[in-house]
Amino acid sequence: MKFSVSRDNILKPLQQVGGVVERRQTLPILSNVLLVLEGSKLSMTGTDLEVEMVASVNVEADLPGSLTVPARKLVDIIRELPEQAEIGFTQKGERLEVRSGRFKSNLSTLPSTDFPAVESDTLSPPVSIGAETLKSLLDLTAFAMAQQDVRYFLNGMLLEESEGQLRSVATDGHRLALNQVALSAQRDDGMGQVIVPRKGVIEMQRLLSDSPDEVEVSVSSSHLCLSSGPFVLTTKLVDGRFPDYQRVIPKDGDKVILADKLELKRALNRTSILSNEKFRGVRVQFKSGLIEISTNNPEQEDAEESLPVEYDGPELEIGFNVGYLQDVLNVVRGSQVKLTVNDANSSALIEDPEAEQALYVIMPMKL
Amino acid sequence: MKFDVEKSALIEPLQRVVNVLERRQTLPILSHVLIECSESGIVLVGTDQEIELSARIPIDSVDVSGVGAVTVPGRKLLDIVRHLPEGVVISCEEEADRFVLRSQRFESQLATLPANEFPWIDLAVIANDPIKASGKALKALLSKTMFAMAQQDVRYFFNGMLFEFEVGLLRCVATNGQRLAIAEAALEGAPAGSRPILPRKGVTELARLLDSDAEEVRLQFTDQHVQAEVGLDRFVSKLIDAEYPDYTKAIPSSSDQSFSCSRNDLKDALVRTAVLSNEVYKNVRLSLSTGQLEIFTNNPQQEQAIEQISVDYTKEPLEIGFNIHFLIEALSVMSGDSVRVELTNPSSPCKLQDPDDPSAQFIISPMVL
Repeated sequence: MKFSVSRDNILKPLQQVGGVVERRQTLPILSNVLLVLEGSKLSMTGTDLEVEMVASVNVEADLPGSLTVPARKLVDIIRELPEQAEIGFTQKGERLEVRSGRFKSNLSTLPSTDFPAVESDTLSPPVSIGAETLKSLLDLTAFAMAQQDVRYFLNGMLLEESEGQLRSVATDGHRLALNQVALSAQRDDGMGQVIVPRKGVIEMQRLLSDSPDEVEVSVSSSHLCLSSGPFVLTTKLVDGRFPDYQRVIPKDGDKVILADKLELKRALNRTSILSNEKFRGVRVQFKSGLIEISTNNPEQEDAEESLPVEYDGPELEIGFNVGYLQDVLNVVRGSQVKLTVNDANSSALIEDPEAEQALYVIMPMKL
Repeated sequence: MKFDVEKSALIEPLQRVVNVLERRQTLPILSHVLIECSESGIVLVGTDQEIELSARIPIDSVDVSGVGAVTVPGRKLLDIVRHLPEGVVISCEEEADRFVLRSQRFESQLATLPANEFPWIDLAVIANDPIKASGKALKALLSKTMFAMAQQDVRYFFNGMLFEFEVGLLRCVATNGQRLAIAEAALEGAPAGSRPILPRKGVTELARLLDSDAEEVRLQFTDQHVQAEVGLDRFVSKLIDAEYPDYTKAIPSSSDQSFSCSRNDLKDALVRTAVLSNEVYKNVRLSLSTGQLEIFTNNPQQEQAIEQISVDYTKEPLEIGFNIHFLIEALSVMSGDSVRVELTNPSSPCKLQDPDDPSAQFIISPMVL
């Protein structure tokens, strides 16, 4: 293998690919990036066996070939070369020589045949969607995914295509976030329901933050594939049954408050400082035209703040984990939030009155 | 105790004081800040028992309606103040054994501990007049040398910085035994012959304090402490009770094999080649020949990197090894365009210096390759 390419053309794609590579892994080859040169196209692949990222760039090709080299070292060297530098890559026996100006290095390689490739099944026809749209679909719900839960299917996000809508749902059993967007067409052969693992969701978000207008998503029985410009991200799917989220969404709430999002968020930030550090409880009292937020902790410290809101129902007191409320308010984009409750023992529903497709459910907490 | 203060007047002094507190401590009161409220304003004090910082808010920025003193949890107080809206007035009051903080519709009660339990550093009476130094100049001395201090070395005096006073001169010296940084600046009224050693945390906090806008800093030394007054802040640090070793022996006296080159070119080439140096020993081999320096690294995976740069070397070829990070760190704190590197032989240290600025020098011991 022999080719040359300018630093600025290869650095960013290589960094994206290197981002998938885990810092610590059991197999040495998993810290490597696979380089394959065919024609004038160099494809670079990084994997952690769950998520795989491939990027293609055009290079000045001399001799085709394929090999794997340590990802982090290659990124570090290329990043530290001067901007605009032309970099030459030459395979020499079991080494890859990387050369630019008066700098020359030899990196160790492992054979490309040992590189663990994702076995791809037949993919569904791709759905085309705006990068921004897909990113906000993920961004507004990703925070609610569980982490290292034994109910492994909660450590991920449900993506569901039905009736011309693409929906994302995440829950950790205490709170749930749901968002949906309309697709351009309703399809019979859509992707159905899939659960994308946590790392796959995070890598999708990372790729989408730097993507062109349109991206394509397709699924197989075991994988989801996201293509964006020169990048293809493939993630394994979680094999499990996601809980019936429709049952979790409360429908009988009759007490509705409308609050300024920023004011509510700041009041929670302040009062949360003196909540119990372990349980993070906050007491919310609904009164006519205002809510009172209060916290206390075992050191007998306390904080309270009242906030004018639109509310004219009966008085009511509910406890919440303040972190769950803060997480929701951090992703809501509108200037107001709508909080709907029924009683102190049932879940609360939070919505953005300006963006009705997203909704959030939070279980109450006994104080 | 009772006072009203604007958020903008309180937050920065409070931040500086809370910075001094250790995140984890054995005594509960060490997570508290002391608030002293008097007719002349408020003083906030934080300590970790090695260093202590008092920040004063003068009476024209605070409305005191009851004097007194109390300690409150520092980080919680700072968190609350930080999350209040900009421009608000904060009312504080001691009620029974609680510290009540109100602002608009927000009200909180914080736990307190009695002010008389606050562990002040026991500062001896200071007899001498303060040494007045330019804050900027002192900051420059610290920034050029503090990177070379040791961390948790059993030779505990290396975990700090030597302040060496001579007539009209202050010299800051830091070393970990393998590399040494020395920087000096003119200083009127220096107590010639005195050689206090500031501990690592004292040095980093003092450098941070000088970051803001310090024009003048007033330094006073006792046998065991240093006190620095910067603006409205008073900073006290314990000194390390030890005799600093004679570092001058480490400075190579004669050098016949030296070269100059662009500081940035040398640094960039080292940073690139460092990627493939041994992860444990961090070694680099420098090979000098007429007009050229070759930088070479390799590692147990048999990976290697080489780069040549042009230098004005004219003597016999020379090969010498170093810890590559010691070279990069020294080159990073230097400021000139070019660097002069003085070598003697493969088993003697090298000296790095800005040819236009003889006030700072960096000595690095070689490594056997």
